[in-house]
Amino acid sequence: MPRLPHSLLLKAYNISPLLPLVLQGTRSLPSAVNELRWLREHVLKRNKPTPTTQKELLRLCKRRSYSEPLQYILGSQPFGELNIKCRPGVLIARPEPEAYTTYLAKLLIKGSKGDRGFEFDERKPLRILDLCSGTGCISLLLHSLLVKRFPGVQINGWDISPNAVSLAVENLKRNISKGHLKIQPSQKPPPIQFDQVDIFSRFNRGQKKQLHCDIIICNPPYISQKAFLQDTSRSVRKWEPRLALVPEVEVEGYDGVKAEDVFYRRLIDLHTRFARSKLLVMEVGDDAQALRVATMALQNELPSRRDTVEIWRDGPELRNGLEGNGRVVLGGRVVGVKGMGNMRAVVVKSPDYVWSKDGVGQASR
Amino acid sequence: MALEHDRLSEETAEKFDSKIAKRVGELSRVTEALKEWEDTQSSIEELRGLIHDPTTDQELRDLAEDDLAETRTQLEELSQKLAISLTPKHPFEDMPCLMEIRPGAGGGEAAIFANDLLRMYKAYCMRKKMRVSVMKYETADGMGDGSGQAPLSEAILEIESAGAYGQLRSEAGVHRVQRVPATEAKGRVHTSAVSVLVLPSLPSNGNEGQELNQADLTDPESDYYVNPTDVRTDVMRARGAGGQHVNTTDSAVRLTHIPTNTVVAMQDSRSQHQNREKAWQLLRSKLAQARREAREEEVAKVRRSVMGVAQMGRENKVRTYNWQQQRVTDHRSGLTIHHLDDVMEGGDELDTVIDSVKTWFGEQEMLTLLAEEEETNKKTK
Repeated sequence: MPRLPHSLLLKAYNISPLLPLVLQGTRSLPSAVNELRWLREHVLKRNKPTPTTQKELLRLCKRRSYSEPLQYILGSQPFGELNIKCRPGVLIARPEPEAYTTYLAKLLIKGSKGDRGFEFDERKPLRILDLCSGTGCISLLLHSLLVKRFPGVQINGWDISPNAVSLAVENLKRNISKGHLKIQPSQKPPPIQFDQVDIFSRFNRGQKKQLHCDIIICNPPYISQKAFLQDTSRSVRKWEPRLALVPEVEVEGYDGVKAEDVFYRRLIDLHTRFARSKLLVMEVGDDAQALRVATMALQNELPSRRDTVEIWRDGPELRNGLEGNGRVVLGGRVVGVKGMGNMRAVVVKSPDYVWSKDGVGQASR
Repeated sequence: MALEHDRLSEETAEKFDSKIAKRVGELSRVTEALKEWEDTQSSIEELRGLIHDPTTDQELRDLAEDDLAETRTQLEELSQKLAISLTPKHPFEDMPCLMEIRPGAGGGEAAIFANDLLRMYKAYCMRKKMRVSVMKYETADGMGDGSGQAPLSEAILEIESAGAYGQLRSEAGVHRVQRVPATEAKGRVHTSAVSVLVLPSLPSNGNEGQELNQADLTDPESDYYVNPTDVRTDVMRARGAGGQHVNTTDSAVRLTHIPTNTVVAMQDSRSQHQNREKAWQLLRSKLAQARREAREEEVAKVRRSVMGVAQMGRENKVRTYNWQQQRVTDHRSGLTIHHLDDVMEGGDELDTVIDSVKTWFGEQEMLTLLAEEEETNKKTK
């Protein structure tokens, strides 16, 4: 990592003696100025500064200088209208999932109104499965955005880490008590539920039932061993759980699948063979991975039905002339690319189909 | 007019119609003033009758004469009030507002004074029981004022109470300060300037029972309508890989209204969602103000031709704060006050200044109306 130039540190010092510390963590001056302000607001909470608060602020700035994420120091991260609790051991909620989750909700609402979007019947309970749910941010945001149009929405979040599951439950309670989520504690069955599940294991009865859903959404670990060392920021590498970033599972029969793509292979299997889901949304790490995953989805579709595969960029709703909507051709099939930024999510839309008795899907249309 | 008011009041009592109710509200200002004026007028008649009545004894006559003089002055004031109430009300008068404060010429000292003004208006609004919050506080690079804060480069106050625009619109303009700045080593007096902009604002959720007929967001005719396809949104995106590779806290949102090239940026909140909402609110306010100004341009031309350049504009300095003499002078109403400290604390003296400007606004408005009347009369002749 390049060393910060003295001139920059001096400039920061001239603004505030605490700023160089924060700058060590953020590596950029504008974010350092903002973060210092948020740290100050966090310490003061509308009170007048006193020697104690100044000391506390200095302590937090020092923590930040060791590249501890601001989200861990403050213990939270805004996510849409929600406030998500963050703590070491669980991956911090990021703006990219916020963008594609919001976009997904928008398309679901549009589609239910007969507009262009994903068509689901708003009168039936919409069942969503959020895999690798982490802090639970995606589940909670989906519920808050969808509940008005889909009053029967049912969301299950699965994560392998018990730490993440308990944090997700805390976040559910926290956002209900803050009034961000309209859920009665007495509601049966609970509209949002988090469980500890390893998605590579054999599922029990209850899990199989939950697996039969309409939509699967997942932000799996997708960084390769090499990229973890080279491309991640120090703050991520040193402080965030490796489990949520680098896939380290060996699966028999997944020949020719790169180590960082293992989760996608499993997700596509779950989507096409086990769940009767009609929509699969998967976050990906970069453009190359997006194309690999899209190809994988097309190769593994059931022979009896034709899926539509789409790629969403960081800002799926943003448009800017040249870099607007595009398309790529993979194996003779057209894949639409939406929005601006890096390729961030691969979306597989499968037509509704009826299950025959021997478990082989038949396309209904 | 009084008749129309009575009729409309009756009508509203029967069936509630927001348009009629609005008209009643507008008229009631005038009718109240008119009623007071009529009452005073009749009491003068009465007093006169008393004085001229030969049967009145001397003591009573003296009293009546005293009263008469007093009532006369009252009548004058009331005529003034009536005249002002007859001038058309500003269309944004009842709205909440945004107040933008930016340092102008004068470098670091201007930034410090901008901070002083920010504090002054905050205190003023709090004293007036208006809901106020800092919507945007942006700092520039450079030496801070010792408190560990970088100098202010732009601040926006959001005042959510209805009628705040009417209350504070007189504050728009350039505020000049003359003092020995804290940053000055040799004790010289500096003159610096800070510009204040007051925009009518539209609460993002208009559910507080506020009457915002013209502020309908979905109505393309409204001043507040902004076509979303005309607006380009830029968000700070992580450099490089993004996604799980980084965990930056950048939440800045920038909106560009392409047809008018209006740019607003917001980065105060950690929540991008909130920054986006605030940015939209600011953009709407700015565009609404600009549209109204454009419409008024025609009228303003007539005014200028009649009255010279005395009209207030954003460019002109409106007030001077002088520390040496401990005085505040408003250049429009010509009022000078020597309680600088009280003004800077947003106290009663600031009220006096603001009220004087409001009266001045009213008078100007009337003069213009008269001038326009003459203009049209000339044309018809």
